[in-house]
Amino acid sequence: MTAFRSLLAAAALCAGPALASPCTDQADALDRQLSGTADAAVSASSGGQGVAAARESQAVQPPPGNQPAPPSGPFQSPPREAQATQRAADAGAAGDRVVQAKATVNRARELAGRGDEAACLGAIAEARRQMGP
Amino acid sequence: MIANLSRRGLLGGIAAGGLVLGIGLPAARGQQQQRFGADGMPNGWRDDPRLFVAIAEDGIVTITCHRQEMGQGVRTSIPMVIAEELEADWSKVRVTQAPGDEARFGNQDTDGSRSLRHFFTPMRHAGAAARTMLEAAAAKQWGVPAEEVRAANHAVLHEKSGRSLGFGALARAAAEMPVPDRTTLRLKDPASFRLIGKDTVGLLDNHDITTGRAGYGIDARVEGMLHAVVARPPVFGGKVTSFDAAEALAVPGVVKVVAIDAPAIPSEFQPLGGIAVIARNTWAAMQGRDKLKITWDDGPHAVYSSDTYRAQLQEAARKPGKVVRSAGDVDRALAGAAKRVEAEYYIPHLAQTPLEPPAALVRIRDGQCEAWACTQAPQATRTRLAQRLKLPEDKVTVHVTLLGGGFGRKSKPDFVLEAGLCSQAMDGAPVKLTWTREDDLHHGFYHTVSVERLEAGLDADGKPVAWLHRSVAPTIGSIFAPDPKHELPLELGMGMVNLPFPIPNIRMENPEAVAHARIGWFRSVSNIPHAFAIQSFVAELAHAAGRDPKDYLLELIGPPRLYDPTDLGDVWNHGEDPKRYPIDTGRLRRVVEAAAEGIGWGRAMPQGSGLGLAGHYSFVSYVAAAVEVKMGSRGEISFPRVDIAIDCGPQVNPERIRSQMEGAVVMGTGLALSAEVSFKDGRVQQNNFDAYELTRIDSAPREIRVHLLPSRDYSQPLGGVGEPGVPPVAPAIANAVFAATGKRIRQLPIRDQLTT
Repeated sequence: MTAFRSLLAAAALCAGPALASPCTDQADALDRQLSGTADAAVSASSGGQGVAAARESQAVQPPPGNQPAPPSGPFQSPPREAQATQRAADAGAAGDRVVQAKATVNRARELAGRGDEAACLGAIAEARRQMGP
Repeated sequence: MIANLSRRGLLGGIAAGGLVLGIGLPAARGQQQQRFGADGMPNGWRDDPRLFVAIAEDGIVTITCHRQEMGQGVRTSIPMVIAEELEADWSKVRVTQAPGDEARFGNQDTDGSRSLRHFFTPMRHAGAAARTMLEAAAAKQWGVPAEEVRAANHAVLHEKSGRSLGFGALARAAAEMPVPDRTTLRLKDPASFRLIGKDTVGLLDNHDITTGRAGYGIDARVEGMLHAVVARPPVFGGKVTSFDAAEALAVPGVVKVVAIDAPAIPSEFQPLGGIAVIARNTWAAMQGRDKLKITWDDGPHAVYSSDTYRAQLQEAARKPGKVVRSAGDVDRALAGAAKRVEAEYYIPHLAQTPLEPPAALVRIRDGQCEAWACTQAPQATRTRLAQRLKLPEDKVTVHVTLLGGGFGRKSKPDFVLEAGLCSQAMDGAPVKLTWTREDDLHHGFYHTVSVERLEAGLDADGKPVAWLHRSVAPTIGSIFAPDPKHELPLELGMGMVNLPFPIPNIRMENPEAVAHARIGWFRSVSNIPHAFAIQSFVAELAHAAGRDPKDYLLELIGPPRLYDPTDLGDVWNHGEDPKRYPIDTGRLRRVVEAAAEGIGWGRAMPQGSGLGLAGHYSFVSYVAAAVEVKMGSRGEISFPRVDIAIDCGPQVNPERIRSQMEGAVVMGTGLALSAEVSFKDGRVQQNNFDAYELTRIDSAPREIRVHLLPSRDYSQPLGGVGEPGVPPVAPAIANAVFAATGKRIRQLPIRDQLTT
C-alpha cells in the first residue's frame, strides 16, 4: 500500500460509520477499477511529450462519437499507431476520464464521511458516467 | 564534423579497411510484453550490437548514435555506455550519427529527457554483446573455453597462457560469432566502471563546436544548391488570398516563387503555408521575399491579443472548472480556515529560440529524396516528408546534423517539409531552406500561456488545511485534434495534479481555454508554469504563516514516503511504470536540503539581497534551486550565486549533468527576467533578440554550483536530465526577490517590475 493510500485509509477511518456503507464499498470497487485503467492510460501514452500529446489529444474526443480522431501523422506504421491511439482512447480517454472520475469518487467518500449516503451514491453514479462505457 | 551512417558508407568501409563487426537488421525480439517507458514508444528499442558497433581492423571502434545531439551530450553519453560494456579504449572510439530509421534503430524521437532513461540498458546490452562476440572469437582462435578469456582495455586476454589479441585483430572473426541472447549476457559490475559515472569523458563534439568545424543543419551544403525562405501567414491559421511576385522575381538571383498551401487545422507538424522564394543565395531569397506583394486572409485568430486573452484566462481561473483531482472538502476547509491566502500567477508564451534557427537542405533525384536537417525527430520527419512529397518512405533518407539547440522546436519537421516542397518545385534540385530569427519568433510552436490561481486555507499554526489550484492554459493538443479546450493528462501531470503535499483537502481544476496560436512543447513544458505558481505560493504561505520558507517547504513535503503517481491523478507519469517510478518525497526533500545548504540558507543577508528556494519533481527526477539575488539602486537584479541540486538516479555522465543544470539555470533566468512572446491582432510582437531577450552575460548568475546527489545503484531506474533543471529556477528567483525587496512577483517575465 502506498503512503497516499495509507493516508486515504486513515481519512476513511476518521470518517467512522461511513466506512462500511454500501456507497463506500462501491467507491472502493470503483477505485480499484480506476487504478487499473490509470495504469493502462500511463502505458498507452509514451515517454515523450510529442507522441503522448498526439495520442492523448486524439484519444480525448468529445461525445457523442467518443472515437479517437485518426492520427494526423503517424509516429510508426499507421496500423500500429491507430492501435496505440485506440488503446489510449480505451484507457478512459487517455486517462482524462479516469482523473475526473477519481476526483468524483473522492468527493463521494467525503459525502459518505458526512453521513450523506444518498449524495455519495449520486457521486458514484456521476463517476461511472465520467468513466464512460 | 558530424558523420552520418549509411549502408553504402559502411560497406565502403569494409572494402577499404576490414570493417567487420557491422550492421545487420534487428532481430525482432520479445519487446511486446512490457508496456512502459521505451517499450511504449513507437518502434520501441533495439540492442543488437550489429546496429550500433563496428570495429575496423585497425582497432577503431565506431559507435552509431541513434539519438540527436543538441548540446545535451547524447553523442557522448550513449557511446560511453556501449564503450564501457565493450571494454573499449575511449581514445579509439569514433561516433557516427544514424539517419532517421526507427525500424532499424528503435525510437529516435529525442524529447522528454529520456535518451538514457530508455536506452541505458539496451546500450549496455549492445556493448556487452559485442564484447562477448570478441571474447568468443578469441577463445575459438586459441582453442580455450570462452570462460577463460576476458576483454579489457581494447583487447581480449587469456590469463592462463598470457596471450592477448587486440579488438582490431579479432574484429573479422567476431563478426562471424552469433549474437548472444541478452538473457545470457554478463554485464559489468558497476564497481568496475571506467567511464559511466566518472568525470573522465568530455563532450565528444566539444572541439569541433568550439573551433567552428561542427556541422549544423544551417551549415548543410551540396554542390549546386539553391536557397529559399518563406513568407508565412502573419496570423496562425491565415492563408494567402492573392500575391504578386513580379518584383520578387526581378531581384537578381531569385529563380522561382512557389506557393505552399495552408494546412488543414489541426495542422500537426505541417508547414503554415505561404509563398516561398527560391534564389541563388540566401540574401537574394530574403530580398525577393521583401518584394512580394501578398494579400492575406488572417482567419479567425486575428482577434488574438495577449492583453485581452490574459483577462479571459483570469476570468476563467476565477470560476470553477473541470475537476482533475479532489480530496476532502476544500470549500468547507477554506471556510473554516484561520487564514486564507490566494494568488494568481501569469506565465506568458515563450519561444524556444534555438540559436540555430530551423534550417534544412533537401534534394530529390532519381526518385530518392535526401534531407539534411537539424531535427530532433528524424523518423517523424521522414514519414511526413514521404507523405507530403508523395514518395515511398523507403525512398526518403533523413540525415541528422548537429542541432544548435532544440528545446522542442526541432521536434516538429515543418521546416524540412518546406525545404522538400521547394526542392520538388525545382524538379528535385537541392534547396536549402533557412528560417531567420524573425521567422522563428513569428511562426513558432509556442510554449503555452497560462494563469495559475491558487487558494489555501491555513490553520492556527499556519499549516495548510485546504489547497485549491486552477490552471488555465491552451493545450498542446490543439495541434493534434480539433479545438480542444482542456489541458491533456500529460500537461496536468507536469507538476500540478501530482503535487505530493499531504494536505487533507485538495481540489485542482482545469477551466477551459481556447488556443489561438500554434502551441508546442518547450523545454520542461507545463512544469514551468506549474512550478512557478506552486513554489511561489508555498513561499507566500510561509510568509503568511510567519515561517522560514525552507522549513515550511520541507514541512509541506513531509517525511520520506512513496506515492503511486496515478493515486495523485497523474495518468501520464512520463510514460513510465508507476510502480517502478513512484514519487519519492524523500528524494525531493534531499534536493531541497542540498540546494539550501549549498547556498548557505539562513545566513545574514545585506540589505537589498535575498535568498530564494524552490524544488520540483519532473521527468522522474528531483531538482531544487536556491538563488541569491542582489538588487541594484534602480531595481536591477543580479545573481551572485545559484545552487542547484539534482537527484536523477544513477548517473551516466556527471559532466553532462552539471552542464545541463548550468544551462537550465541560464535558461530559467532568461524566462524569469525577460522572455515573453505576446500577440496583438494575431501577430507576434517580438521580432528578434532585442525584444525577446535571452540571458546575456551581464544578467547571468556569477556563479552556478551544481550538486549531484549520489546514486551508485545502477539497478535503479534513471531519471531525466535535459529538462528538469528549468522549472525551479524562476520561482526561486521570484522568492529571492521577495526576500530582498518585499515585492512579490506574480507574473513573468519580471522585466521592469522592479525598476524605479
